[in-house]
Amino acid sequence: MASLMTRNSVFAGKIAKYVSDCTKRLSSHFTYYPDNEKPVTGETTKMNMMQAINNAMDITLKDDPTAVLFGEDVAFGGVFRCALGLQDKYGKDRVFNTPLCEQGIAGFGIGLATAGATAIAEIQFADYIFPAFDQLVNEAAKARYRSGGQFECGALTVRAPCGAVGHGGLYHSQSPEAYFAHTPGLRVVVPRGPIAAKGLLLSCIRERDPCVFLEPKILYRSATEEVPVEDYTLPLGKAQVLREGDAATLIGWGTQIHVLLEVAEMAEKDLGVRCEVIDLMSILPWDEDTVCNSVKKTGRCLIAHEAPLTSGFGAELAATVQEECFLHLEAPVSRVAGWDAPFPHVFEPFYLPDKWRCFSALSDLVCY
Amino acid sequence: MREVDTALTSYRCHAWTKLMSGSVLGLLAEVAGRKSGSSRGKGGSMHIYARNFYGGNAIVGSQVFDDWAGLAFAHKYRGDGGVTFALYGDGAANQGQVFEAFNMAKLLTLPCVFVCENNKYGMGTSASRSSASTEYKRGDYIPGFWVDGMNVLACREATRFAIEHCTSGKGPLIMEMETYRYSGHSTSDPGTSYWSRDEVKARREK
Repeated sequence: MASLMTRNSVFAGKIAKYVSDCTKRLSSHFTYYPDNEKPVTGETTKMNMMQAINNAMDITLKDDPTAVLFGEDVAFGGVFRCALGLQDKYGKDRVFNTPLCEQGIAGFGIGLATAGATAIAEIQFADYIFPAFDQLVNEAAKARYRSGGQFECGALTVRAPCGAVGHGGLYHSQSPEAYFAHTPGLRVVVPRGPIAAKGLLLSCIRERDPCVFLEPKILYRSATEEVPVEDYTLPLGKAQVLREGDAATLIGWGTQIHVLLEVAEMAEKDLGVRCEVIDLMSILPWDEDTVCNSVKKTGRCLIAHEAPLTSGFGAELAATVQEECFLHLEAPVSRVAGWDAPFPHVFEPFYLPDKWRCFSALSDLVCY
Repeated sequence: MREVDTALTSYRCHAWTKLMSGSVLGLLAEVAGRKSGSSRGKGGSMHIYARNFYGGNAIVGSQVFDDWAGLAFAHKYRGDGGVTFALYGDGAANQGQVFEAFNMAKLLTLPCVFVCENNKYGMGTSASRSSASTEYKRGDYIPGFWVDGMNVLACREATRFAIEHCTSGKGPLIMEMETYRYSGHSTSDPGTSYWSRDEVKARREK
């Protein structure tokens, strides 16, 4: 009897450990750092990133009578519910579903924008944006240039959820910012949280250039902040310094910023150095001045992104940094990124540039 | 279908994998991401492959164009009398690539059967709201016919007919198989926002 009890408790202990291990494996690879600074004073309300984006579109549809929102399944709110309630509020002629055809969605949006309407096109997952690639790169980006300014589709904003989510696999986790960053004529923007998302999205919608707004899907619900309820915008093409320091400059965007903020904390605690953390926010055009001034101050630069290493946007940053800040550099520019492989399913924890990989690269950088 | 025929479908591919490979272990292992899985654990639940079965494709509509072109042409080139079955859903039926595929199949007279599994909903959007023509058998320059996808015998006979049609050099064919999806599209979709309970209940009873 006694041995039976011992065996059961050992077994129960094993189960408890297994469940706990699973939870650790399944929990996210980052800790969320909310913004404490507000871009405007005034009333705020607690919102997650999905609600902030919903709020931005609500403001747009309310104030701009030409604004329309469309995409796959947006009528009931969309797969992430960013468009929740908007069709009920503004009607089927302004918020509507499209058939399953990304090329069509982009093309349709370009036409609408050229004709003078404010078009907000939702691509269900950034991984599906590739059928629309030709439309965005060859049509949207080049319309103003090729017509000598007679026509343009600046009123187009294409929104898509991007980035790792823990279980997305090959086609629900990609970060395609680098493909679009290679296209003059577009703007590419990636927010890190609700306050940034609302301000940046409103800027993109009002900006007279076609914008690709990539929303890190894992932050839709996990990122909550006190967001100002009023209408406000954040400048495009400007990076934000989130943490000041003098030992190294850590650059990232989207979800990766939160990983880097944690790495900076670890560095202060374990290595005794203060790192500067910069959120690019706008990938194209990106804020060269802020980044280079920072690297000239610190002498060391680490760039991290989820997208694969080769030809990821970090490559562009590294090339420019070494060109502009060469004599100030104390160590080679370091990049920590996803491996050069399709985004894996079960191997995701090994694929992502998590805090351990980033910390290890930072240690090497600091001790170079 | 016969030994020599090839098939490819979209992401809802578990049953196909079992059919084409006969290995339940391979299927379960793949879903769990283990090395013993059909795709060595790298594909996961949506990307499962087997002999003559080319997956398992998450990008909707891409499989119709992507692999079938080579497969169907290979059958014709090799003269092995094989036919390629390219399956896709009503949601995918409006992807431009699908129409490009139809054109090439007819132009090159390829032994290919395009099977549209019409469950009336592309995730959350009903077919009538996403398609100008809900006649998914299309049948313009490629002949097509409608099959009751819920009737096993009808499906079998239709497939036999299709194989005969293609192997006798008559070129491609389109089959629209009408079916129904009882639950939501995926784990993030409870299937309640665009359906009513009664509608699902009525279908189940049929």
